[in-house]
Amino acid sequence: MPSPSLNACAAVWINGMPMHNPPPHRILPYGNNALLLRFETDDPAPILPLIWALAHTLRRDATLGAIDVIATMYEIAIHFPYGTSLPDKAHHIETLLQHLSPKNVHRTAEHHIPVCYDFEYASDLPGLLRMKGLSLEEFVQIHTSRTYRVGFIGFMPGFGYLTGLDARLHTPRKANPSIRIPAGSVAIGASFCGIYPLQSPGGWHIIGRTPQRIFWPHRDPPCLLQPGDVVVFHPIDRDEFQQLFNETHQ
Amino acid sequence: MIEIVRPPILLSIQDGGRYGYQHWGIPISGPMDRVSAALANAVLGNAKDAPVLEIADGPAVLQFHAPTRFALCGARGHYFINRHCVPLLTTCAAAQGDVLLLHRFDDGRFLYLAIEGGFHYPEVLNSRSYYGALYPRWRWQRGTKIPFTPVKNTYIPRKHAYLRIPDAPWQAEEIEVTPGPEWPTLPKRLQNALRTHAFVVSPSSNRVGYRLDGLVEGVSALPWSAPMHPGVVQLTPSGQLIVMMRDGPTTGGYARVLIVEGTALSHFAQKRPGQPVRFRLRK
Repeated sequence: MPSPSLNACAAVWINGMPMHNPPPHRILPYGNNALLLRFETDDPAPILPLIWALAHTLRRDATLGAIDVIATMYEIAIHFPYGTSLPDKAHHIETLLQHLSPKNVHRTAEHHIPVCYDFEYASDLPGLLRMKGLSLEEFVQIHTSRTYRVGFIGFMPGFGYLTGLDARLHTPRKANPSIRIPAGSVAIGASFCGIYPLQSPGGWHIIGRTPQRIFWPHRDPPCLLQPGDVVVFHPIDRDEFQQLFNETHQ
Repeated sequence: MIEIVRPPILLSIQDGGRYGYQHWGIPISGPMDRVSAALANAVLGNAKDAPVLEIADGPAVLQFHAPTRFALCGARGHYFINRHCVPLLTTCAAAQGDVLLLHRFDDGRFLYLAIEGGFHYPEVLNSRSYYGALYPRWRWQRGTKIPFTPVKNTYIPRKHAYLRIPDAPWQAEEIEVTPGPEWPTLPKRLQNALRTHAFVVSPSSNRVGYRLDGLVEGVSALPWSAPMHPGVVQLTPSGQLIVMMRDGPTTGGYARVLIVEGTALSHFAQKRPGQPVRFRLRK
């Protein structure tokens, strides 16, 4: 497996945002044993780096004692053991948020993911090209020219929601989800791009497949992609796909 | 070890659950009815999170290949070992070759088989709870064998511990809930409908989620996917209610209107398709 190059503490801090003035947010109860930190925003992109850094900090804060911290585009759920006093924890989180500094930013990696756009691996691509009025070459050019960032992991183990999709490729989810999407499928859903780590049902449009494995149950961490990581796609043909697939799936 | 002679509809090993990995999309898993699983372990003096066998929707046949003591708890039904009736929540002895027949489930969906000392099952990410993506090579089928440490002497003293619990505690129609993050944004009439309607558990209900029919009105989906959790009740735009269960996805895009927690979620898990459910909002 290729080792991703680590750019030390990638410059992911919010430009010009003073640390003592976090963006508008609320801390709500999420049941009896969890809190929900919600950032009030219409466009989560600028606050994502803050969310990555904060989630990382919350997970490592032994005094806080959270058992699970789940971050998405605009919310962080913080789960505690049964019987924890939530108002105390909310206060603690508020303090952390006020004192978060750029050194809390975690290291992020850059991944170069090979994708085969052959229709054999891209069941929804012919329809998508017709809908968008694009040729295959134009589509591949648009899709591979962007630099994506992992917004969060969710839906299934190791599934990264990649932000940065070109607006021309934004597509609403399929009305009828596919029953079986093969592992490695690269797909588009609304404004996100994603790679299915495992075979699964799903409602996104399949535009290609990567031979790269992105989830290993017995590895720590089990998933290739982490929030904040950079992802770049490059096109490969069927022969290269087969060769790489055989190398990575031995 | 114990061998699956006739697999039920759904079978798995579950322990206390897999915490701390939800940010990688890995659900907590664990027993659907945690209360029953913990009680089955308690009868044998096991740790309450010791790995147990979760048997769903019977019937099933299992065979012991070593002597042990075991206990059953959960769904009510007709259970036999070598044609002798097996009561729930009682320490029972099994000799090598004994056959456990779980004949018919009458009430509830999940039955737990605890073994003295717990089952041996590979640990993945600090837990022995089965979840398909983490055990890609494991098959729950006829002939599957799950090891345990045999007990040298299966003698059960006449005066041994037993537990008495209310009969099938999940039979009450009412399920206690707390308001979810999107509850305050719901229109009043929808809040009233959720508080008063009787909903019916849909046949497409499994370890991932239980669907509830009976509501006709929905609300628009969330602008972005948000954190989910077992017990969160999602309301879709078409008015379908989906209660996230133990193997449910860690994020989702529908309004989180209510939350079923703790014991209430264990009781709710035992509801069968077709059974009615009412939500009672906790103040």
